[in-house]
Amino acid sequence: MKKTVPLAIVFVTGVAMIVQFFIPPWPFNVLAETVQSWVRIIAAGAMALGIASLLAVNLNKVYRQREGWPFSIVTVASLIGMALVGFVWGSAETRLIPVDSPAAYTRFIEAKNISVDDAEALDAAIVEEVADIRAEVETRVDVPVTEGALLREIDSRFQRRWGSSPAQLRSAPLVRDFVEAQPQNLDTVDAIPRAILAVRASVYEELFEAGEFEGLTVEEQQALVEGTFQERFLAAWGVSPAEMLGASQREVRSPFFWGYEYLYYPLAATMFSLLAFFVASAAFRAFRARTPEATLLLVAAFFVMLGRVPLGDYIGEWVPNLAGWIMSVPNTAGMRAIMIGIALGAVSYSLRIILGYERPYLAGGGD
Amino acid sequence: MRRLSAAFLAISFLLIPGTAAFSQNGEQAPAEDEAQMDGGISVAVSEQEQDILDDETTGPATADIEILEPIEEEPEPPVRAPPAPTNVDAFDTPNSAGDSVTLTWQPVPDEVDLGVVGYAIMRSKEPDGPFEQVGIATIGASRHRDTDARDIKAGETYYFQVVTLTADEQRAASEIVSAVPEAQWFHSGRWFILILVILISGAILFNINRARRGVDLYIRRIAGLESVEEAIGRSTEMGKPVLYVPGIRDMDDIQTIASMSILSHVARLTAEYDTPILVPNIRAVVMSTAQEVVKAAYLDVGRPDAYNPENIRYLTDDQFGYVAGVDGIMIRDKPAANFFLGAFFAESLILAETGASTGAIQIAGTAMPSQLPFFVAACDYTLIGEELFAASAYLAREPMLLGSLKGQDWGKFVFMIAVLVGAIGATVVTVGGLDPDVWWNIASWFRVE
Repeated sequence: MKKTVPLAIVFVTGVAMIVQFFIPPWPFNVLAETVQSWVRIIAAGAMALGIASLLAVNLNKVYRQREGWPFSIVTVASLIGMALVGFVWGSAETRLIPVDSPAAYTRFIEAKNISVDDAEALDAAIVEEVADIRAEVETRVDVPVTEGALLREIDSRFQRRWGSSPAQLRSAPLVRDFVEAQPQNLDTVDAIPRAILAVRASVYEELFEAGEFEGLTVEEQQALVEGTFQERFLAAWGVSPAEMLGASQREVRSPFFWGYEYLYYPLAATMFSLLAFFVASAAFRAFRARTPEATLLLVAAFFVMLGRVPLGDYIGEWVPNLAGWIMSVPNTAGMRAIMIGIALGAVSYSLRIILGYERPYLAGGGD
Repeated sequence: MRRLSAAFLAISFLLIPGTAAFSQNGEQAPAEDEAQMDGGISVAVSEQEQDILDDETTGPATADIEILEPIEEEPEPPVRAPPAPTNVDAFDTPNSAGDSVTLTWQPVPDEVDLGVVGYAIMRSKEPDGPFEQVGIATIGASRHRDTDARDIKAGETYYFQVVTLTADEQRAASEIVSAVPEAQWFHSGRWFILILVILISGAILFNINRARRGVDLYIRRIAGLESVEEAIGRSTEMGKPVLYVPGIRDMDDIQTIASMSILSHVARLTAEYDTPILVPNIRAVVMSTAQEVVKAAYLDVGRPDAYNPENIRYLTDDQFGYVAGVDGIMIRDKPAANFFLGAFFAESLILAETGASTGAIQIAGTAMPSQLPFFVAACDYTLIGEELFAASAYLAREPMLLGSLKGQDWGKFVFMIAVLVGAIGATVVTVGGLDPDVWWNIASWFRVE
């Protein structure tokens, strides 16, 4: 029984997967996709086993202080650290943080001796500050950067210096007016998005009570609400809801993405770049002309490489032509022969598994 | 001022040919009213447009005519209305599950000049609509396959329109066509594959049966597999572990499954020789399977005490993180025999070259054709493609398994004949001895859809 049930499952599943290739109707048309989904679910569940194995091996190494145990601490700390960062701040590339632009505005006008609501003086002071930061960035950046990158850097430095971007500073009086006009006290700036949504909800309620939705589809109702909301908000506050939102919060890279971009990614790229050196050392070994086959390989590789660089063209048209012929005729023929062999091998092996002659999944053959 | 601008906009809109509203089937909306304007210009005004004029003005549209001097300015160039696609046809998609309809049409001529940006595919269950947009075809397209397992049911009639879309948001709908999707019980484009599967499977089963009856089957020597025992023996002599890397794909890849079969044989030998075997894994499911396989092998040999589950460990799911981990094991533990058997990608050469630098004897095998040259260059023995799948049968030396290899060779013979016939046929066509159309008709029968 211990052996028969798994063998029966493999036989039925294997035959079903062959049949689904030839028979289009349901359930065969969704069979392969469904089974693949199951595989993904199992793989996700098995991740717990993997993490358990990783922790067991490395913690045991630390506990017994085996050779290289500090590296195990780094491994476990990285695993737990990234998981925590992901759970707390999410794994999205960016996240929104609130900006107290009215407070930044107050600090800025006090530092620059500008009277409240003097928009012209505020604008001039911001322009001057941006020019100052640009001069500072341009003298410190020693590699050529694009104008876009330069502007982002200026924006970032401005934010670090004043707690808000130049654009947010300009809209700060509007945000202040909006906050002050709210019926409830908005003591935290991240409450502004909620207040904006509350305005939208009130528009919806008003239209609903006035019976404006009668005879409209859901999409039409949404369009009516959105249009009315945008129009009224702009008329009342001088900015669109999106601009008001932008003035009260900003996007920053999430800590998880920071770890991915600046720790993991360079490490992976470093490992991959080793390939360039290993290709050179392997090629040196493979091309040593010790046997007739290796000599043939060396000659073929020489012409293929020569035919792919301008020097080959310079020597004569026949060099790139020869390189093309080597790649498209003998090379392709060899590759196709290997592929046909692989396909037949896979068919034969699959058949042995389906019929139960080979049972790697039974760990020891199920005897 | 608002009144003036609204009236101006409304009348400008009416004076521009082609901007009047179009009904869904591409015909111009019927005129609801006519407004006689100064200068003798007569235009058609729809009910909706009249509403706009009435809302924004205190009287009828003609009341403000005397102040509409801007209309005497040079009019904007007329916008050409796009024509609707022609020759539209809808039919059941061949070899489908009854959840698909294919549409074909003649694209609009001068698409670019007319500002056509694509075609919207509209579907309805009723001949009169309402039509729902179910797809978009790009400019120049003349065919669209509408597949929807949820909303399209076999045996029911569906109505379609193809609508020309332009950059200035004009639309012109084609005539309405209908189709009834049906499920086909066999994929007619796969007859050839079915015959091939039956032939090859028949050959394999026939040879398995021959082997079972005791017929002696010759299987050529595979050097890489002959050296497995030698490599493990060397590790034992040197007192070093054996490293087994089962590739970087999950258990749903046949190469990984084949690798598990070989791992079973390798683990038996390491258990017999009392040599540690290290199996670092990139996938948790593979790790779990490998633990079971190695444990069973140690039990079979009667050495359960020598089995250490920590040696069959999970490293990471990341490709290059895994490479770093395995390279670290090779550099620190200096295994005397490395097995790289399974599916490999860019990491193949990094692993094999690191192993070569430690002086280990290396046996590799993969069915990834692009990685084979790297293994050939950096390893002592390489199982090329099909040899990976043959390895477990070869190592087990069981007659039934060897019979399947013989059947596989017969299949290879069929392919060799087919390649030969194809080469001769193509040559005959090239020298003019056969009509190319006849040849392509024959060849198309072997094409797989």
